[in-house]
Amino acid sequence: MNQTTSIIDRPAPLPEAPVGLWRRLLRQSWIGALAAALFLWLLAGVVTGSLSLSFLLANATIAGFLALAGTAQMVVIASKPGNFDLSLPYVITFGAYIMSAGLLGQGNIAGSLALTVLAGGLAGALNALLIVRLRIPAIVATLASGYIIYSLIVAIQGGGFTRVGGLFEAALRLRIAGVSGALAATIATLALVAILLSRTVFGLQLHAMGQNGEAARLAGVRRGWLTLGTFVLSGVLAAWLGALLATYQGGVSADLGRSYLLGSVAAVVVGGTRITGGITSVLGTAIGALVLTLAQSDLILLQLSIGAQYVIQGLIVLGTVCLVAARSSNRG
Amino acid sequence: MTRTFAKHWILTGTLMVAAALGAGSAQAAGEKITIGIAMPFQGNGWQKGFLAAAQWAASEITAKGDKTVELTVVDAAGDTQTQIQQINNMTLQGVDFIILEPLSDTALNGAIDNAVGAGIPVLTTALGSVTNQKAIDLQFDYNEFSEKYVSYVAERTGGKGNALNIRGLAGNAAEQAIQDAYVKALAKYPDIKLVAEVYGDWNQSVAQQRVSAILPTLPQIDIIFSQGVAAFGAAQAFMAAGRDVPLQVYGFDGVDTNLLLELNAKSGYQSVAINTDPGIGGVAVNVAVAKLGGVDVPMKMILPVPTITMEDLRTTYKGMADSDIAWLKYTYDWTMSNMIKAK
Repeated sequence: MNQTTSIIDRPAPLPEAPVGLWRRLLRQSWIGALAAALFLWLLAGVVTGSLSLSFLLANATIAGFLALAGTAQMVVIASKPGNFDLSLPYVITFGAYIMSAGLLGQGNIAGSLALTVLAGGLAGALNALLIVRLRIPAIVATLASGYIIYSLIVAIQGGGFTRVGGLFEAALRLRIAGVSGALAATIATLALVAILLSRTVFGLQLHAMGQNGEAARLAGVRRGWLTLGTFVLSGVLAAWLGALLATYQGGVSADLGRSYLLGSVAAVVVGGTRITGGITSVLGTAIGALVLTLAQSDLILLQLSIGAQYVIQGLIVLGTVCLVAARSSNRG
Repeated sequence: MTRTFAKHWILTGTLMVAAALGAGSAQAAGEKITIGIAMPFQGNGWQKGFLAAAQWAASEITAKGDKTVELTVVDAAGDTQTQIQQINNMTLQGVDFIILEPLSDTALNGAIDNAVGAGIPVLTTALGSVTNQKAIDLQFDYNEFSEKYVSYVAERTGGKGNALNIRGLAGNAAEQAIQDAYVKALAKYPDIKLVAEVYGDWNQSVAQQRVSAILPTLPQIDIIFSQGVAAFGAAQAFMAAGRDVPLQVYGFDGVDTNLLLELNAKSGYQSVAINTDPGIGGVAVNVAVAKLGGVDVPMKMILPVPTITMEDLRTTYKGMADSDIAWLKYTYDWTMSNMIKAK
């Protein structure tokens, strides 16, 4: 796929017009990940002796959380080559604590949710401020803000927390035909972000800035404001994920977000998105998250030693990167 | 932080009247003792309990009148290099005693040498021991922990059933020690079958997700082993999937104990809480005061692992918030007669 045509998930129609559906599908950057997800599901079926849809859906719920973290990371990666958000795990945890702290009164779930999303947006704005005003590279700025947010977490934690519970928890845990409320909530969020990235001016400008910042500036893109928008979006997604996790899981701990730092980058990479910026694929990231989650479960089912599990997970990420690189160089 | 621990709980059974050994009587009245506490990280209920217990013990001793115990607390945020610097700084500042939760069993040896060389005794506790023999060591016995844990479960199930084992942080020495102790304790019950094993990274969220993901493939699970850390996350995974929560032992965190009470109210579910006790922080302060008072303190001490029953949760520990953690109050006198065993 060519960088300039990959603003939206679907590839631009090819000049020789009527191309079969299959060929078009095969050109998608995430097709490899999708095949891997199917393979891993079948493998689990072979290992346990029965192909279980509920196993796939249970993993999809977990993968949905990772997909949200991956999408938050992806918009930052897309905004400029070399951009990463290291504050992501802390914003997730921070969001979970604000959701559980009941600052606006116990049982005020809508208020807590609004406050959580606002806090995530502010965390993102802090990152953007450091990057735009102080001209600090994103990877350093988000490292610094991560420490600041961590100290806020320690402070807020002293005030105590309770289960969110109530209707929100019941809704997230409700399962209709095996699909949990939490999975539905993540899919809805991801769909919204996909539309935002592919159908709005903000999305177009974000891709333009990531592909060539200077050209985008000359074309009239206000990079400072765009960076602010990017990091606020990332922060809001992370805090929303924290709120979902705190509610769905029924509790919070200071290490809630820890596993999402590396996981979010891995989901983006395995989803077939190159980490050189300018490209997004929400669908790819979601499938990437599913692959990583299914791989983890399969390795547990195969009863491999924990060392072997880590090695195989590393190989999956590495293999995908090589595959994506090979595919894009073939296209020239 | 102490405000969240407005309720201090005493497990009355642990309070023992001991012959008062006037270690402090030789000291001048009002003598000030500064104890440095090197915490590994904050933001974990257990560590909050540890610190609260240490502060409680310090205030108890200060309240007696002849000594004033002050605590200087530092937090290494999980970084071993930071902790080494903090130990060196406390040595330079000239604190009287250092209580250390070591982030490494070897990397801190040099810093401990410096402190002990400067006449500052160092006590290692809670997170594990160090290989430096100059440090006083106050620990739990994982064999005892696992023995209690496994025998409670085996008693309840008649020594049989399918078990899910949730392990901790891969590659951690304490994790392996607990696992080995489980295996040893389980050898007596061949009819308890471990049907699946997942690593929960000692993280409720990770444990819950990994259990949720494989749950649809698992047969009937009667028992969960969780190293006392992942009980809440495991239970939530079963509940979210609409399955009954298997028999498992709970930890001392408020989320654990409140869940246990909730399950009991709903379906008559029975269990207990067994955990390494954050109250060890208070014992460490007591040992420090004794050592500075000239008492001959043994280099190795083991604190028993307590069991908190549902009856205790309804009485002694009544009204815990989710963010609280239960810990036992060990008095100075109890420490003298049971840990130090001074004559």
